[in-house]
Amino acid sequence: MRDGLKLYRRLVAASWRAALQYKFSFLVSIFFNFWLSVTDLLVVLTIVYSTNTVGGWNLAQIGVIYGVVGIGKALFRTFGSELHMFQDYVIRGEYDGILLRPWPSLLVLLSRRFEFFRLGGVLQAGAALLLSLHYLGGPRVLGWKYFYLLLLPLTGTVIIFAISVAIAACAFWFGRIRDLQTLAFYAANYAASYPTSIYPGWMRTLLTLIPVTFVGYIPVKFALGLGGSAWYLVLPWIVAALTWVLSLLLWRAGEAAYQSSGS
Amino acid sequence: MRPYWLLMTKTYRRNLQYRVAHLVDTVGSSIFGYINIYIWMAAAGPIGKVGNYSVQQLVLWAAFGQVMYNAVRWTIGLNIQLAVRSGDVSLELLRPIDFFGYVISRQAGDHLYGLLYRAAPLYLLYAITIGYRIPPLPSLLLLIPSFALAAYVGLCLGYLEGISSFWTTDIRWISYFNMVFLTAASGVQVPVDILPGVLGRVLPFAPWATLVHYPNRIYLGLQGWDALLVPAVWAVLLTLICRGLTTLARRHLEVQGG
Repeated sequence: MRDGLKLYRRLVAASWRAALQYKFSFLVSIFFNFWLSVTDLLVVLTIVYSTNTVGGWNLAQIGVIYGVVGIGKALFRTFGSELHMFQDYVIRGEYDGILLRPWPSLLVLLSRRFEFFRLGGVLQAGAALLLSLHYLGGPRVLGWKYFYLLLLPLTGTVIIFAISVAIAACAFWFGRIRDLQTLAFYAANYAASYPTSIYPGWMRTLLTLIPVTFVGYIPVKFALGLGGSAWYLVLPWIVAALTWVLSLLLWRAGEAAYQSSGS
Repeated sequence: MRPYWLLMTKTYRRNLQYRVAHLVDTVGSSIFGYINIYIWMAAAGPIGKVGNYSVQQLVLWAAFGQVMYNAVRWTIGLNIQLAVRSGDVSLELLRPIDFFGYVISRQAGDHLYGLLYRAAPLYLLYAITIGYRIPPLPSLLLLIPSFALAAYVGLCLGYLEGISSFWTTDIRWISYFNMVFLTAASGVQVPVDILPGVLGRVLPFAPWATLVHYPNRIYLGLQGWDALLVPAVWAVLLTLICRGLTTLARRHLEVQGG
């Protein structure tokens, strides 16, 4: 395990150095990604700006949820790009090549490619989070919860990663998982950028099962004094651990059921 | 016109093979519409209206916006980039048929299929679960050219993505740029004229607004024939740009032989 992580770290560093070989191109792509992802924020801004609140949450409070979910989503796309495209491996029978490597398959898959230009999205969502927290009074008003909220994207990223492992694992049985991805990744993360309380029961249940509601809404609600109990601050860690365990079990079961489509 | 018609019907018939898979995709896509609907209900509900739009109109906007999005969205680069990469484009340019017309009519079959098998079931789903509006006859008649212009402008935007592959090896950024404006400035999530500040004044005149914003305004009875002006101007402009770039691309083409 330790050797595997060491290898992963080295591959990330090598990939980072490779990206920096073309510094200008790299910086431009990050800059471009930053501004293109600002349009996501623009939609949120337009809605909240023209109505003042959404479900009782003001712009800064929604900005915190948006920032946490946005960072998690962009970090996943940066470091989990191959997992996001996993159905291609199964459909084309290329997964056989991954299985031949003397390392855990998930580790090999994740270390094949990193899309560092997506760090522009991390910067954009990070800026939204920092500005929102500043608007809410910063550490002077929020106290220790300010630092908790700054670290919240970590658990958010872990949860989004685990969900994506589970989605990818489904490709072992179904082949094509694009539709599942639309529902459980794109739609779920889009919905999770707003307070989950605005949705009807069936959608809240769906967002709890997936479980993106624990990425931002649940912990932010208590941290900003909008309801709930202190448990809400611990729940994301428990959910992150549980989701990872379930996702890895699903991955292992899927791998056992995998049948190559190669000739 | 017969070859173009044949190309369109061929793409349409090919799509018919994947009806069930596309139906699943439509259900997934419907979730985005529901999310937008519930966001507007929560945001605009307590204050009654946003800009010139009532809550009921915003809810119908979100539903019909998702329907239009499914009817006019296009395949990245209209697959021109694949033909450029494989070198097949040299043969396609040799055909005794206009290249622009060839690509557009091939993809128009996708749009016709999308209208019948993606957009229509989606509209039915929202009509049953959220509610619907039957526009008066004049608006209903205006919706036909409005949809045609939206679909055509969408195809031209996709064509621009694809034709850029004659000059660049990677059209990802151009496609990403287009996709971002399709989601933020087409009116699929929010009416373009309520975007804050100068954006709300400028973007209704941008090509992306022709895709969802204007058809939606006609559908809700908020605008009449003048909602066809901006789309018509863009349809002409984009046709000229696409044709001009095709001429340049034809001169520029280099195919690596084996």
